[in-house]
Amino acid sequence: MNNAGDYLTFSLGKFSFGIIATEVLELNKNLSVTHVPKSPETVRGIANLRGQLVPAIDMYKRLGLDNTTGQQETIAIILKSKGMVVALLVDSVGEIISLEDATFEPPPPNFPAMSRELVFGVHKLTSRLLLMLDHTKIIQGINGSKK
Amino acid sequence: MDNTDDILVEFIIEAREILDQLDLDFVLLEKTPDDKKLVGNIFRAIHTLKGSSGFFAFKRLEKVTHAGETLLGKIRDGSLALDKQKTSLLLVTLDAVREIVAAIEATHAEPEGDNAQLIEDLLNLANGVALAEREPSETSAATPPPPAAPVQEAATPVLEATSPALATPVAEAASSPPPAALPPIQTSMQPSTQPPTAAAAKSASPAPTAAAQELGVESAQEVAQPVKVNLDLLDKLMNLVSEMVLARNRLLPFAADFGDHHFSGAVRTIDLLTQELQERMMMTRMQPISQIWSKFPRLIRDVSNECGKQVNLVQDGEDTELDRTLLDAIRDPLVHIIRNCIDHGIETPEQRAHLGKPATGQVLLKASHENGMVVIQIADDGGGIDFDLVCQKAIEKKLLTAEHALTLTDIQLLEYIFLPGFSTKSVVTNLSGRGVGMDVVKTNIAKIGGSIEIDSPRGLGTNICLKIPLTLAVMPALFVRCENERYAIPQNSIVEMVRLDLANDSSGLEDFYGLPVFRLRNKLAPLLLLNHQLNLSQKFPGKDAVINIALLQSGGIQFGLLVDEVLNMQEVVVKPLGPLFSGSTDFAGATILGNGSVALILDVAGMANNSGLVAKIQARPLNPVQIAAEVTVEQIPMLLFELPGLEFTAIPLECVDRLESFTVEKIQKNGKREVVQYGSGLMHLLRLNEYIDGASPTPVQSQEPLSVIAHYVNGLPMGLVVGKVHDIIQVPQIMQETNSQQRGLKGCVILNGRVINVIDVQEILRMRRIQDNEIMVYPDNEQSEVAVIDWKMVQ
Repeated sequence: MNNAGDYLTFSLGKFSFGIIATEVLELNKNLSVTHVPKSPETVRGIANLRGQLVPAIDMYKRLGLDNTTGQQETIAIILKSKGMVVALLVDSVGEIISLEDATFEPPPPNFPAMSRELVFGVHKLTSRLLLMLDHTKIIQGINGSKK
Repeated sequence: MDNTDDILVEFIIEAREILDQLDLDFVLLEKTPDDKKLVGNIFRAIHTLKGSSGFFAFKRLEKVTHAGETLLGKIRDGSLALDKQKTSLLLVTLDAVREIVAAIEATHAEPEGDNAQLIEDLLNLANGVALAEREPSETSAATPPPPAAPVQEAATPVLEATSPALATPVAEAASSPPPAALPPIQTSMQPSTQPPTAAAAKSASPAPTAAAQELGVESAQEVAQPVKVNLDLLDKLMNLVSEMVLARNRLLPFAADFGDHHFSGAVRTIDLLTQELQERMMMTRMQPISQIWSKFPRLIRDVSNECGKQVNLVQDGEDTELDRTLLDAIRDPLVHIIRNCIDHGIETPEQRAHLGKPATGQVLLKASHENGMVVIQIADDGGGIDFDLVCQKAIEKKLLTAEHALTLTDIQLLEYIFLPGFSTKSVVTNLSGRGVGMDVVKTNIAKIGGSIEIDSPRGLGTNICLKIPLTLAVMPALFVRCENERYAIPQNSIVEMVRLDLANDSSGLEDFYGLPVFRLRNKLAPLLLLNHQLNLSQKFPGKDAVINIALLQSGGIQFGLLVDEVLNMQEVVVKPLGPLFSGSTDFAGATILGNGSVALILDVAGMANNSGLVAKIQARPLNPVQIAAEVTVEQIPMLLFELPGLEFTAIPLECVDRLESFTVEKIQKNGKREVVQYGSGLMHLLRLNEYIDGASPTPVQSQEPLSVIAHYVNGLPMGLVVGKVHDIIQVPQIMQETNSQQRGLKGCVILNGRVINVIDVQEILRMRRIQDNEIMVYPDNEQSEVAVIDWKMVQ
């Protein structure tokens, strides 16, 4: 995977993430999500995106993070992952930035296993660290419901 | 998707179409082996396939099609006659081709292996028989010396000649000159077929239109060639249109509030356009039923050959359109029913001859639109359902006690064939006997909101009637609340809603081997708690709670579903949940409500299975014996009316198209028949009391207006004259059959202590027809017959 390119930044609690901008379809505030009982924990529910049903992914759960903000996520990133449209629920969305290979580093080894599967590396920016998410892996591992 | 992929996809679609058409053509060809035009069509179709496979370098496909083409070429130029063996082998070839195409579709590459045996068989058949026939021709070939060297020249004219007018040159070839064309072939097989194909391939592959033109010679279909549209695209458009409708709905109140003339004018235009857009969009989803029927001639041929029976398929109404998702859903049930018809229904030719029936059995497939439903009828003229065997098996499986069995009518017995695991075949064959048949058919049909009816008079064949909604897009559903969410339950699985006050109900909820049950009209019904089932909460209703129960039915089991609140009934658009929720068997999908929020639709069958309820019930029937019988008590609506002499008479509401009233003056005579002017035509009147046992003759000189039930038979109105019309009543479908068959009556039902006679419309119409055809006079019919209307002419 090429590590340079345009990335959309977003935050979950105190973490900043980057995800490839070309696969992002839109950003949606106040997407109302309907809970689907017995669905996988990482899937918050299902939302109506102009007549299309899209699963809404709880990114805190997906990355194995604890939501310490005590607040609901405010915005959804609508994105294509392996041909499927999904909504990623995140706290806030930042700017789209162009990243160079020079700032890239592979993920540190002390990363929790769950997020290491998704985070393919880190961009060291002047003000913060940007954790890079592999968009194709987001729906991997969420298959079917838990009984 | 790159360019070659696009072309490949098109190739696969084309190949599929060709294969489907070939299936039909071959079966037709077997019946009319002399149809040279048909042979030509088949030959060209195979040839097109071969050309395309050469283009993609699918060697295996090319070899198989080539061998098939070789044999077909012989048949086409008349040197070989088509027989069963050849048809079968060619059909096997088709299957092989189909397999390869399917593999290509899956992997985008040709599968490994070859069909050496098949190819050898094909060539042997082409050669072997041909050689035998060619023996004499060799001598005659010597007399008119053919130009042996210019094979190419000799072969190409044949091809050219076949396309504009197939019949003549082939006929010529068949009568005398074949030897002239044949000798060069005999020396080596390859060159004989290669030149024409090579020539055609040249014209076909660089410019595919050439092949199309060639086909177009005898088919005018090209004129209105439909455009192929990707299904995904259609679905997306459909979604957008639904959204557009919702957006329009939000806009409408503004227009009303705003009061601006121009604004409301614009909104009205949008309103109209949206509506039309929606209607047109719905039409794109409709497809003729022939899409799935076209596979049946082949199926019937294969199955009947396997069973050693002779079956003829009659199709009617193949243009009937229904939603394509429904088409997919009814394909398997139809295939199953047709297999049943042949395997169980139709007798062997010997048996049929013994019974005085024609050796070839008939299977009728008929589709039509009726009251917003599509009615598909599958009828055969076989032996009908073997009720004694059904009864015996039911007793064997302990579904029924021997004493109870004696009291059951045929109609009641019929319900047993829908039970899971029920089969009358003692030996499992690859056609039937596993007992997963009719119950799956019934569940599948029920899943799409349809119903199934079986009519099977003993020994006279089976008539199965499927009623399917026109579209799946919209389905009525009941909304219920559980905790904070709304859920929709498909209406077709709801039996009734029950509100139970546990404080007043002495028994309340009971425990039956770990399964909560409640009493409903002295019968036990299992209860499923929706909040437990969906892991929403662990609440259990208290001793004095008032609870709402939806009584649901799934796969022959009734159970109550405890919900927090019953909301409204609404038509919903079903949308799939998507792969992330594929593991969820509790939901059939979701729907988007008017305000844009999403509600989940419960999968009743899935929930019943999930909860272990089905297994528990099957292990320990709650209400032994009755449970199967009870489920079957379906209510059917009937119209209650009076006849002179018979106070309570009823006719199934489905036979009532309209109610009319005519003054006596309006009645005119057509010969001995009474007619009235009805719309632009005539309606014949039939005085019901003259056809039914127990009714008195028509009172003479009555000046009362006549009450008439208009019933359409084959599109023509027939007026059934009755006394007073009362009311529509719901009666149990299970009827007490009259002990000795009474004329014109199907049976009677008891409702609120009254005996209600249910008339047999079919039989009455049959009697009427007999009268018309044979001038049969009933004893109480004093009129002399003067003019007799030939029923067939009326039809």
